[in-house]
Amino acid sequence: MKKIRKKGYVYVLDVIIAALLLLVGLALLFYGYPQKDYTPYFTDRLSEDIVGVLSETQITDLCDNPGQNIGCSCPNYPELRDIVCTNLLHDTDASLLSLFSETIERGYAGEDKMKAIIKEIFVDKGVIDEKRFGFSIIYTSPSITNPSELYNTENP
Amino acid sequence: MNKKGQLITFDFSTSIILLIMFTIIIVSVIIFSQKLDETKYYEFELEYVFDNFENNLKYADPINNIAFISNYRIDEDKLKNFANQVTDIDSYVLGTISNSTDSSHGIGLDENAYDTCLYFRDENGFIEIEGKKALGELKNGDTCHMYFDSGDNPCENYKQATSFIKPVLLDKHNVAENKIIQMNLVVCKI
Repeated sequence: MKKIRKKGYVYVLDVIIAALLLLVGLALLFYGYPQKDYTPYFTDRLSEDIVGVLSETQITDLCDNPGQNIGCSCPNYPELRDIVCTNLLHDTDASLLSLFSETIERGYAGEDKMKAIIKEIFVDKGVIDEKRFGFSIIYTSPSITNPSELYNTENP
Repeated sequence: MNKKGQLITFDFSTSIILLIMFTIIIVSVIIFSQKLDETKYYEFELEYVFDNFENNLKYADPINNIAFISNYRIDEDKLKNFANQVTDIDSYVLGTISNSTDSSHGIGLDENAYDTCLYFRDENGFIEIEGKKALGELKNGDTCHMYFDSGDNPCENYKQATSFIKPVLLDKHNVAENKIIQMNLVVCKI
């Protein structure tokens, strides 16, 4: 008689475990997965936009009296001032992209200076958050045999 | 003998139920995970929101003088006009705008299926436009400014959120104040 009772307990336990598993399964079926609250950033055209804004921004948009040693200033861009406020600069009525090209081709400034200017314009001013998006700018021209890396987030 | 047979049948049927249950769980997990993946799918046309915005502004009534962006340049005076005249910017960003003579083409997305917020940032944070941190209105009637001002995500009650960034020149017609800044569009899918 005792043996039968014990067997009964085992089966009841079996049924309870099975029922619990069934309930867990049903709960999983009807449970809505919470969506993660995050906003992905669409950066497919960021490199195009970086070059775009450099080609559409004129030196005179950011600097007064470019190409002169005296009376020239770039109020929000002190690094840029170093290559703009010099009488070595030939083309003062040009875009920032053109300025970069002239500076590199004529050797007015070294790679470190160009890197500092790009960092000042895009990183220091909060235009591109380097913690989220890395970027690099590479300069090529017929006079340069190897492309020159003006800026790279991964090589600060 | 009869009882033993019943016990074996019970055991067998329990096993079958458990097998079915686990199959359902596995299948449902696969289905749910696929549904989650769908949220990572973006409308192809969304990559043209900035271009569409710029294009639509060209078609706005010239009297209003609100075409504030052209070739990576933001005209601050026109931006203020836009902020004062347009509350819901969805049609400008995603839909089509028409004036009395002509109409734009749009990018093929239904403006009623999205809400959008526009804002600008520099190294000091939000650049306020006419006292607003962001322009745009949401489906519940709240403004984007209210959400950004309280530090909340305007898309928190939407199916999907996507953020677009574009570097632009903020032209204040004064060299001392001009600077290259970050233009942002947040698109919330209803």
